[in-house]
Amino acid sequence: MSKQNLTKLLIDLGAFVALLIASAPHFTGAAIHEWLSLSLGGVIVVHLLLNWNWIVQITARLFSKVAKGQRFNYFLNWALFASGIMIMLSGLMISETVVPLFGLSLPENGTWKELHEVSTNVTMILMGLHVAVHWNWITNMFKRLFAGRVSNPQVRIPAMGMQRKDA
Amino acid sequence: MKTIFKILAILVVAVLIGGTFYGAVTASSGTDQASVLERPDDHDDEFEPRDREEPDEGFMFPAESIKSLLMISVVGALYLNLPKLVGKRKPQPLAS
Repeated sequence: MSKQNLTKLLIDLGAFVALLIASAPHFTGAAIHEWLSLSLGGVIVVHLLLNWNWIVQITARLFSKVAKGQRFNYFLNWALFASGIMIMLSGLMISETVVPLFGLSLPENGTWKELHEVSTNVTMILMGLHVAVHWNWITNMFKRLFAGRVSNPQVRIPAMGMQRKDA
Repeated sequence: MKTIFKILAILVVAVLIGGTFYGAVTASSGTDQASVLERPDDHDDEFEPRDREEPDEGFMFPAESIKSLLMISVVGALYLNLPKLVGKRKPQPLAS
């Protein structure tokens, strides 16, 4: 497994776990919920940077010949990005820890709280699709990761590499 | 340097999307935010306090995390298996 793929896998795995933790504000408390969510924003930027080449390539070829699945994946990612921004924005508007820390007070508006919940649910649905679209990549990476750790070249049986003639 | 430009591009797009959302929400909710910010201090009692939830004590089950994980799993499983399920359904031969 290449170093970049390993980095991607670890960052994505960390972001996924962080997303699950951040989605439970009653469990973590407001402070952890808000700071963790903000740091997730930074992780998303790193995620986009690591996949920058794919974004540029698909954007350039979007209106020409692009596989149907790639186009769906592209718009799905945009929707996920937009819903993520909606979560961040609505979260900041109802913030109890981060925004007051900077001496700012925002007007209370029940709409933001509702939008925060709606956008969270939408993001979870889109995240499900995002994970499903990349499921093969995820499983392949894990297989390679664990295959690399389990197999030890010193104890590898040479006969295992032989191919049966009748196969 | 390239990375900084990439980060800037991401942030600009994020600000544009966020700004659009903000404009849409404030326009539709019709809240005059300036008037709320400039409300007089001596009439604070007239406003209802934000309904803050009391922090619960003891161990809490991360139910919301489980709910999120379930949502992701169900949607993902549906996306991966729905074409197979739909494809498997073949028309029954008509009994003559």
